[in-house]
Amino acid sequence: MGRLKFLPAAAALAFLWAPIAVLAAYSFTASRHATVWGGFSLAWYARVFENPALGPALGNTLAVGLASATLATALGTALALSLERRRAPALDALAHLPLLVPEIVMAVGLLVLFARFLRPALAPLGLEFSSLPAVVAGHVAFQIPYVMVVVRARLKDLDPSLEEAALDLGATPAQAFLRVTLPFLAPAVLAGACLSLSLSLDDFYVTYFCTAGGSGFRTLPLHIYAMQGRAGMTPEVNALATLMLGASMGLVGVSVWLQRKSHA
Amino acid sequence: MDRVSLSVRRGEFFSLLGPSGCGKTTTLRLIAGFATPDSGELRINGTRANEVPPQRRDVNLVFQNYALFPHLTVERNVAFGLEIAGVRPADIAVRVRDALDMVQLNAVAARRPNQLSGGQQQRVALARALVTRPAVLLLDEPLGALDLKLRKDMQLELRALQKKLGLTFIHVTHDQEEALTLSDRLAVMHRGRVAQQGTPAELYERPATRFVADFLGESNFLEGEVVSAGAAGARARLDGLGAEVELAADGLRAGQRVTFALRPERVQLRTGGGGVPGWPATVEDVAYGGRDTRYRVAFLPGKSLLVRAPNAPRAQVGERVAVGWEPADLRLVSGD
Repeated sequence: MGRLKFLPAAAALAFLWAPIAVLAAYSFTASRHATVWGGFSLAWYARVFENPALGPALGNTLAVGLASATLATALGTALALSLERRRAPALDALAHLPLLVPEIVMAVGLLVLFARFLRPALAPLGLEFSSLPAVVAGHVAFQIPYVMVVVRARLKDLDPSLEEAALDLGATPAQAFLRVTLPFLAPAVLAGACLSLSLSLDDFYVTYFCTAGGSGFRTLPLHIYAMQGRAGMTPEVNALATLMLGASMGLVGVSVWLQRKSHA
Repeated sequence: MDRVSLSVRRGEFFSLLGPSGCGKTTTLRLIAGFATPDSGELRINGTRANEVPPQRRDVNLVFQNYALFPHLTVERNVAFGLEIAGVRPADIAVRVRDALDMVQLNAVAARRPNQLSGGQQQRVALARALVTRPAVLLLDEPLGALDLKLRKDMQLELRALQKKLGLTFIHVTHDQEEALTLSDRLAVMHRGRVAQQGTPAELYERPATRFVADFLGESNFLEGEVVSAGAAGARARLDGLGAEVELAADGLRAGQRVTFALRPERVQLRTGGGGVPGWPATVEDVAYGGRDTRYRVAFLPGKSLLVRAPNAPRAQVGERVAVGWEPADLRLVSGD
């Protein structure tokens, strides 16, 4: 019996990791087909780095990721601070609910908002709401609650008398925030930023729907989608996906490590 | 809180004493600027301070939980107020070192607060609040989290420090012994009001209310009724005893109910059976207390009396004794 009780957990983990393992394993195949093992090779990784279309896609992905993570971290932290300091259950629920909204719903909602309202409203002013800011805005929208949750967990440990002590010693409220509250929150804020960045890097739905039609704006996930549609899947897709997986896992790892460290 | 009126003199060690929820911490927070009075006026150094925000008040607070900044070293914690005030870095270094010397903590200057013992954290909090030389230092139950032995040592240290610096200390505590030992003057607070203020001796020897008599040390309470009142003074008769007591207080009228407080150490206990002067009583309980012995004696029907008497001769449980007191040891106290 003793060993058997690990069986369900082992089965669940195997099911969870099997696609990822297969994906990663076949990124090293020498074959032309993503599903055929033709011996070990790093050729597809070389192809990834040589592919001229990937440069702009990677650039877009990083630009969207860094910009959206920065904005979402600032806004999510501000939201966490304001919600933690008042009893507002309704606002609380509103702030958490987007975590439960299916991403496709969010994506379609953003599409309608941008295409139907924002772009027409800006057009007469001679302003164009191009793909990059649209995708950044979309990413910020779904990242905010994640940052808020992470920062609030830390904020609950903040002794309110610390800020009072800073005021008492002559600090203005702004100084107290910058010198005491923010350093205390820093690990959680950074963790929230890492989480946001990793969410942004592999996002498909919101990116796909926020991209202005015909602009040709592509991030890596959009590029992968296009690659497999066009020429059938080559292991180049596996290689690229494995690299992205590594980057995401690294970011989530850093995020978890920062949160653990701040709770120690 | 209601109609709290206090005045603390420059250079004085003043304590606010009371049970939890009596308003003493709120009073301290009003002085520090973390709470605003609905009415009335707060003056610091003679100037109205109601509208002055905490960061511009010349008072520093030592928090009950110390509120040391966890991400800063001991040194940087102490330097905080000076850095904010824009003191030159070279001067900051000197003043921080002096402040840490004062509380004997220079050896741990580079550590973080969580690497210190409770007593050390307490002293860092003290150094941090004192280094900017505020006009008034507020202390919110500063010794509450320390164990008894350390607390006694810190009491002496705190008192010595205050005398040496000549600063005004306002100290909040629920420990009556601590308040009596440390303070030049103190106020006993009860239900959001000041029940009485004065020197420790005044409050202990002449408690004005039943609450003060009970909270500061221990008291027995005897009830009575005013039998005559006039320009020459008043007389009251003690319930169940028939004895009459002279009253110095004004404003009494015949028929009025009065309460007297009687300290256990003022009650004389006489052993030796019949014929001893005093009121007859029976010993119910004896507890040896080191310096003296505490007795509970059955006195009047349904009423027992607490007595503290020298350790010898010792009366036994069940022994018939006599109790008595000097009339002057009965203190007239108001009812609440």
